Amino acid sequence: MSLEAIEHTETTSSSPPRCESARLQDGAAIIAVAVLFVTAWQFVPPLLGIPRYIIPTFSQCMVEIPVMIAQDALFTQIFSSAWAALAGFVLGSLFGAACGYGLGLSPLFERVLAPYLLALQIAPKVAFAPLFIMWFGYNDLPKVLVTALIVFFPILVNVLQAMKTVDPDLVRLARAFSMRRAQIFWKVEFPASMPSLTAGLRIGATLAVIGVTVGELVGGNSGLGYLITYGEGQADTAMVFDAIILLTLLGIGLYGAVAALERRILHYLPRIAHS
Amino acid sequence: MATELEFRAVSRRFAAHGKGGAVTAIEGLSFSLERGEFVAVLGPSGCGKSTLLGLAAGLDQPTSGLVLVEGQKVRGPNPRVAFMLQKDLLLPWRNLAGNIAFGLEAGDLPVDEKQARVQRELQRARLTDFAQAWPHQLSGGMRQRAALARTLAVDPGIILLDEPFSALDAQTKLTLRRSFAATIADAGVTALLITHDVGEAIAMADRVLVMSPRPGRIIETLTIDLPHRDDPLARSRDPRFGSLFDHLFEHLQHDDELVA
Ligand SMILES: Nc1ncnc2c1ncn2[C@@H]1O[C@H](COP(=O)(O)OP(=O)(O)O)[C@@H](O)[C@H]1O
Ligand SMILES: [Mg+2]
Repeated sequence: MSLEAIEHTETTSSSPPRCESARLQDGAAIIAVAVLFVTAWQFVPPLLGIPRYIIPTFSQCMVEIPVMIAQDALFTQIFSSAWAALAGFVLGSLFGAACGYGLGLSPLFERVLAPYLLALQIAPKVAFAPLFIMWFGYNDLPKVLVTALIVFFPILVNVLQAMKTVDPDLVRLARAFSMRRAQIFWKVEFPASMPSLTAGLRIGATLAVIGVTVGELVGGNSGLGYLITYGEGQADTAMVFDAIILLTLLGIGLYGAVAALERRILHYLPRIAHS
Repeated sequence: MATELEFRAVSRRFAAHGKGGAVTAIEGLSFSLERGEFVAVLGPSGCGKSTLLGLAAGLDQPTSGLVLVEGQKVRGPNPRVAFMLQKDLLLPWRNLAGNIAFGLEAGDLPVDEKQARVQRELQRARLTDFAQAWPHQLSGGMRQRAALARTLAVDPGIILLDEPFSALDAQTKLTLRRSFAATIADAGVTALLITHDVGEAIAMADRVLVMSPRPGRIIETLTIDLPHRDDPLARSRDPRFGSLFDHLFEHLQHDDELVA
């Protein structure tokens, strides 16, 4: 699902370059939708008699934020979640990429480990969160590890797939030029895998926020996920709303950073160079 | 004249894969190329032309027989032999100069020698102005010229060309053949051109070998005694071109009937 969503945003953002006025029109329309949404959020629930502990209005959510800053150390919680998301994302990406390249380089290992990898990939990774808390206690480590575990697989799978689909003629060309195995990897296979690696990183960026949230929901005493359970306990729906919004913004930030990195790495691709 | 490349009774069988039984791609293939010669190998598709190229490049070993480069048995990839294919195989993440340098990076040439080679080949391919361009910015013909430049940059004795023009449109094909003929004459390398285009073989080669359908053998050798080896267009206007064409076409016709 998330994959589809990502693919979709990607195709819209890379559609053929259009003229400036069309772009301005799009921007105006997008802002208009946001204004419409916020207005509806502000006025429709009270009109329908929905109480603030079910759906707090937009202004109630905004008013809650300074309260959270004062009483719940909101900035510390944001920092805690952001740090865990980034650490888990980097850790999971590094291990995922390393395993992907390793398996790509040794078809024997890949064949032997493929069924286990598939099983692990199907296993619901978030279910490991309570286990990590039992092992490592109520600190930041469990949520970082859950995040890393969730991020790990899409990156491994993408890198492995890329390694398996490198044009064999390109490898033959490198071999004919008497290149050694390591040279073939660094000069052909590794750069050829970049589009898949960055696609995996983009998926990983969206999953990282899920990992952190679950880690904090299950056994956190810090972070935005913790504020969700805390707000739930206080019947403070506005706090839950705000935490969800901030987690989403965190995810968008991470995704944006990865997308920017991708544009830099893949600058040579016409699709991205012209957009 | 020195013999540059020689096949002695070479056979290559591929073991059975899945449902298909064992395939004998080429059988008892013998021929040789003299230094500086331009030889075209003509044959129906699937007759083992690409297999032959793999054997000559040292990427593959014969099931029986001998492949010799400059009198030495080919045991593996060999810096004296370089090849290019129908696909240009340019690396999209490198600019043109970087692509031409690709083959030089396996060896331990000094950096300025590598740069000099790249400049030399850029000039020979008339691509100097595009040294910093990305492959996707170039036309198909320019990309193939760049691929030839990359092939020649390693200073090979022999270049193997596997249908280098077949993915191009008719007009580009004509210009590119002329460009390749001039470049190869200038570099003075021995060339083996694999093709299924009779006109192309006559226009470009000193000698044409015709292969039978699988298992591929040489069934005909024709020396092309026309002037202008470095100008295929001039050659194709030669009055003798037609009779050579008919002669080779006969042989290929005959093969198709055998297949049918
Ligand atoms: N690695 C391989 N394994 C099995 N069969 C192969 C392999 N390479 C080529 N062949 C077979 O050998 C025959 C000749 O192939 P090829 O040399 O590519 O022909 P051509 O280039 O003349 O079209 C084909 O029938 C092909 O299926
Ligand atoms: Mg072929």
